[in-house]
This record gives sequence, structure tokens and C-alpha cells, in this order.
Amino acid sequence: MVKKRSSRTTSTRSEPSASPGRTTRFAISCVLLVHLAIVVATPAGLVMPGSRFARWILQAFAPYVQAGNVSHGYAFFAPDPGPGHVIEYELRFADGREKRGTIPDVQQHWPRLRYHRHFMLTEQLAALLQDEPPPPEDARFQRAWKQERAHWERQQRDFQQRAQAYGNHLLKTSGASEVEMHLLRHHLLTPEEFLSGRSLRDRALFETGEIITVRTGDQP
Amino acid sequence: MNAAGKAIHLWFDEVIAAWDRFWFTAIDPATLAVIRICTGMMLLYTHLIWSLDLTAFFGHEGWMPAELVTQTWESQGGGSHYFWSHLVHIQSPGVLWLLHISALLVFFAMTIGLYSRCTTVVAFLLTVSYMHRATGALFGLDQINVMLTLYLMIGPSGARFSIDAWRKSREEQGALIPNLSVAANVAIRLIQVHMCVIYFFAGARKMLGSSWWDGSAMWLSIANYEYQSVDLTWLADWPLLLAFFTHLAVLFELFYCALVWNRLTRPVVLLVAVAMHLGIATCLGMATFGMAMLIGNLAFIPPALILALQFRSGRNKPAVGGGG
Repeated sequence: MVKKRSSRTTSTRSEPSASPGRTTRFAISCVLLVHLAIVVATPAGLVMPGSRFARWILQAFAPYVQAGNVSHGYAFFAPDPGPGHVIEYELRFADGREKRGTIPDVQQHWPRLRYHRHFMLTEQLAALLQDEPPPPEDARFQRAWKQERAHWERQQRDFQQRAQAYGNHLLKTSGASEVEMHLLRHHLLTPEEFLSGRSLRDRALFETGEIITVRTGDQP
Repeated sequence: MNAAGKAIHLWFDEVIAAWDRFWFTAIDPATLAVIRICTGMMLLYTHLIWSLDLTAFFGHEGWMPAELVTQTWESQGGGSHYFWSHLVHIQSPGVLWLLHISALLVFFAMTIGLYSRCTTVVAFLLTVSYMHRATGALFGLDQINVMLTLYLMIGPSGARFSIDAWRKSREEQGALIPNLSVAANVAIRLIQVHMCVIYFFAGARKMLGSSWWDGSAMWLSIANYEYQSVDLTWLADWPLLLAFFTHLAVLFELFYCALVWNRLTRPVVLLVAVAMHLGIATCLGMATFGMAMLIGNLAFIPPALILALQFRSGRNKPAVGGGG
């Protein structure tokens, strides 16, 4: 009995796995270098003004970058921590009832990760809302302006489609016939304003950015 | 060959030797195994939370319908993009739930180390697929989850602290000590380097904002009511302290990539990382993101330390080799 127990606890000595040969090491090294170049290229290509070389790498390896989701911008609270965004909505039912809600809702969306997912819906919707780029005074910048404007128009279209989709989802899950959504920007207080007695939830800090109304049957 | 030529040749030999030592030294897979368990638990939790709103986020009548997601992919990657997700093809809620429960089982199997070589690969594909489909609701947590899962595929993450290792030791009638592994080292090195890239660019992008220079960014973060999970607004009375923490955060992120490699500064850097991420986790409502970043930092814990802790708790004797 004792012997059996002893044999079970005998340790096998650890041996290194076969070390790769020179050619294999060279091949693996090349793959590692390309991979790490791509990992660096995404944040470098996204920092304004984005590196032209980094953007070239991202284009050249688009299948790997996009399909594998291997690299990101890593901008956490950057360049500056900005205001938060919430959606306040009012559902209107065919029988005249009305119901209000917010996205995200700290009471309803629990645990915290669930709240944060809903918060990202509003934050990333708001990120699509940019000011229209003004036309250049110098004609030499006309081409760059046209590109910026085309990008802005795409974002405007994406904003409308996403907002419409949010509205449709609220209508489908509630059975309401109409929803009016207010995208609010929650401005931040300075320390001095806070110390003077103002609350972070002061209603005056909420600025209405966009109002979107969606009705049953509207197409996204 | 003249003296200059010899010196250059010698330098090249030293560089190649250092490169080989860095990437191709075989190590014990203990650190990778701990990262597998932690990442598996994080993936399991992340996807369990998706379960609470599964059809709302992944259904075809959800916040982001499949057509809108594919349009977003086209907008980001052009007409011939390479984004993909098996979830955009699912119309039926029943099928969606079936696939989701299967995914949860894969993440669970990865956590306990069951068929680890397969489950880590499937877990990576599932993580990417969910990320692509959930466009519009993602944040830093998802980026770290996919990074860790990508590298766990490379090494033998199930060679320790796993069902796989337990079964193997039963088959071989002895307490198993796994082989030292070059693949484990490559995986750990990739996590380490990727963590350096993440911190460096997080710091570099902050350098583009004035609030990180004038010291007000920390206040702006804690005064954001939507992020707040613990009220730290009493710090308004301590502007110098807020400015100090603002600068410390940026300096830490910018110089992590240099200081974490030095044996003397590494413990300090890792302690600051723990403090910073626990702070973010507790006060800014992002416990999962904070934990995911700490899991990434585990890559800098040498296997010998993990094995020593395990040995103290009365389990297997530590293997030779190490790294870090």
C-alpha cells in the first residue's frame, strides 16, 4: 500500500522541448517581427496625425488585422477625459400611455459590466457626431477638405442609422408605437464649481445634442 | 577581415544570441497556465454578462442589427473587408442561445484546462466573433481579452494547473512536471511586448490632451458621473494630489515599456500597475478592464515564483528553468 502511494508521487524530470533549428528560428523571428509591426501600426496609425507608414502596414496586412482583431488604438481616457453621454427616451403607446427611461440605467443595468455595455452604446453613438469641417480659404486644401467632408458625411449617415436602430429596438421590446430619444451630453464640473456646492447631476450640466424620433414602420 | 569588420560581426553575433535568448529560451509553462485560468474566467464572466441581453446585443432586432454591423465593417474596412462573425448569420433566438451556451462551455473548458490546445483556439475564434458582432458596445476589456486569448493559443497553457495535466499525470502514474517549452516562452514574451505597446500608446495619446499636462485629467475622470462607481469628488479639496496622480499615471504608462524589464524596477512598476488598475476597477466602474490589465501584467511574474508558491502550498516540486 505504501509502495503504491510512493510510486504515484514520483516526479518526472522536466526536459526542455526540442529547441528550434536555425532556419526555423529565422522563420519564426520574421513572423514575430511582422506581427509586432502590425501591433504597433494600429495605435501609431490612429494617433493624429496618423503615421503614413503605419497606415500602409495596416492596409498591406488588412486580412490579418481585420480577421484576427490583433491590434487596437489603446486610447484610454485620451486625449482628454471628456463628458459622458446618455440617451433619455420617452416611449409613446397607441393607448396614450407614456414611459420614460435612460440608456444606460444604473438601476436596471446590473452588474456593472452590463451597465458599461449600454454606456458604450451611447458613447460610441455620440462619437459619430462631429462638427462639419469648414471649407478651406486656400484652394490648395480643397482636396483634403473634400475627403474630410466625405468622412463627416459617412459618420452622419452612420449616426442616423444607429440611432434609428436603437429606436427600433426600444419599440420592439416595449410594444410602443413611437419613441423620442434625446442624446444628452453631460458636461463636467471644475473642482471650483464642485466646491461652490454644485452637484455632478445638476440638470444644467446636461446639454441636448440630438433629438431622434422613431415610429413603428420606419426603415433604418 | 579588418578590426572594424570583426567588431561589427561580433556585434551581430551578440545581437542574434540575445534575440534567441529572449524568444527561444525554454521555460516552465506555469505562468502561461495561470494566465490561461485567469483569462478563461474573464472570458466566461464577460460572455455570461452578454447572456443577460443576448438577443438585444446579438439578435437581428437588437441594438445593432446584423445589416448595420456589416455596414460598419464596410465603412471601416472598405467593400472587400475581412471582418467576420458567425453571429451575423443567426436569425433564430433558439439557435443563438444554443451557440452561446456552447461558447460558454468552451470558455469553461479553457479555464479548467480541458483539451486546452483545442479550446484555446476555439476560444480565440469565439472571442473575435463576439467582438466583431458587438460593434458599438465594446471597450478596453474586449481588446485585452482578445490579445490574451490570441497568445494563449501559441503555448502549452494547459500543461499545468489543468484537467489535461491531471489526466496525463494519472496516465503516467506520477506527479507530472511538464517539459520546459520554447512555445510557452514565445507566448509569454508576446504578451509582455504587447503590454508595453498598450501602455506606451495609452500614455502617448494622453500627451495629445492638455488636461494630462495641466494635471486636471484625474479630476475630469472622477467627475464623470457616468463612469463613477465610488465617489472621489472629495479630492476636489486636494488639487495638488490630483495633479500628482495625473502625472504619475502618464509617466507610468510612457515608461512602463522601459522600466518593467529591469529586475530592480520591475517590482515597483508592477505594484504601481496593481494600484492603478485596482483604482480604475473600484472607482471608475471598470472592474473587468482593470482585472484584464492585471492578467496581462502576470506575464512578468517568473514561473519559478509561481512554482515556489505552489510548492509552499504542498503540491508538485518546482521544475528547473524559468524566465521573465
